[in-house]
Formats: sequence, structure tokens, C-alpha cells
Amino acid sequence: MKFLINVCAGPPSQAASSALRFCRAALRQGHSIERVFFYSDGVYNANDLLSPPTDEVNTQQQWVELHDEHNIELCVCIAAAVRRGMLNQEEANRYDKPSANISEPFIVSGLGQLVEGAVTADRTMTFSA
Amino acid sequence: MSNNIKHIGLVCRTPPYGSSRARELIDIALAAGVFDQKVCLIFLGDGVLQLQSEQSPISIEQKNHGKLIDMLEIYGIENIVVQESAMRSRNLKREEISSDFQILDDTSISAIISKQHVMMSL
Repeated sequence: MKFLINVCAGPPSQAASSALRFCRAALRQGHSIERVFFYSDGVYNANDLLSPPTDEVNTQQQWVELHDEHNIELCVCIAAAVRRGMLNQEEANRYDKPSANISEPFIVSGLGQLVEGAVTADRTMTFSA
Repeated sequence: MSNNIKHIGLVCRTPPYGSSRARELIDIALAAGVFDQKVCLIFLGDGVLQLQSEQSPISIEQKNHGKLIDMLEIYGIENIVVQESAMRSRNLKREEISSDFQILDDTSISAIISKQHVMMSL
């Protein structure tokens, strides 16, 4: 089965962690992940400035690992992200901000990617706080 | 976008102000409308407060959520369902919301939900 994962809660919430664990479990059982879409507070998962204590997990890093191992698209909603001060370099330049905090493999795109993914996938799973 | 058209049900459970969830869920509806999907918006619990026609959030420096609700029709989203019991318990009168919305009991709403291909909430 092909899943679209809609992550609407940021770290360090349980919902963000559950989304990651769901992805891993689904892949382990032979399912595929169409895309992980980060919406609402979920955009904070893409924050590459996250610096948790060393004995706690770094959610952003875990998503990057999931991408690296399974080549899964990590798509951040641009409107939700910019509103929360989450910018990739291109948006930082556009809004004349001193720094960016979203970098590859996270890509920044629109809500159309959520809708397109939901239409293409067999199941849409939302993880929300 | 594939040529697939799906029935997408969106459950709105949050009040219009206090968090961005109400607005962000309506934004999904508008995006799905742009992609010609069949959208059904289902307002449950505190979500019914989003539909109140007289909203004046100027004093809390927020945009009027009612204006966003008014946009739904322009985006071709006409299938809007409201939970009758939630309206009653919040003393929201029929005349306080648009007559285009269907006010239904829980059993009817449950039947509508079971017909959707995709369900989302925030």
C-alpha cells in the first residue's frame, strides 16, 4: 500500500515521533511512502537548527536518515513554514532575512503537493498533536 | 496531478481563533478545490463556531475567519456539513450561519464520512 504521511505536529511532540515510527514500520512491512508532507506546526520538523541534548533524539536528523535510506520525498508547506519563520535559503533571500533553517533534502512547496499526494496514495495518514 | 478525482472529507473541529488550525484546514479545502477534487467540509464540535456569520476579531488583531469561509463557494466547495448537536450545545442558531450549509445529525454525518476516499483533520 502507498501512504501519504501528513505531519502536523512539531518536535518534540509524540505525534512527530509517531509519524517517523509509522513510516519505518510501514516500509519494513513492504509498503511504500509516496511523500511526507509537513504542514501546520509540522513544519518545525525541518528545522536544521534543532539542537536537542545528546541523549535525546534529533527529529530533523531522523527524517534526513529516512530520506537517505529510502529516498522518500520530504515536502514542507511553504505558507505554513514562512509564517512560522521557517525558511530555506531561497525564501530567506526573498524576505531579506539573515539566515535560513530549512535545507536539503527537505524541499519547500505548496499545499498542492498534499492534495496531489492524497489523491495518488492509497491511504493518507495525519499525525497531529 | 493525475486525472483521479477523489472525495476528500475535511473535519473542522477547532474554533476560528486561538490557533491557526481552523485557517490551515480551510486552506487545504481551497487547494483541493483548485485541483478539482470533490471536497466535503464537516464542522464538528467547536468547529461550528467558524461558521458564525457575524465575526469581528479586529480587537484581537486577527483576520476575519468568516471571510475565508465565504471564499469556499468561489472555489467550488459547496458540500458543507454542520453537526446539529454541536450547534445546539453552543446555542448557535440556524439563522446565524449561511443557509447553504447542511445541518445534520451524527448518524447522517457518519454516513457521509464513510463515503469519502480520503479523510483529513488537523
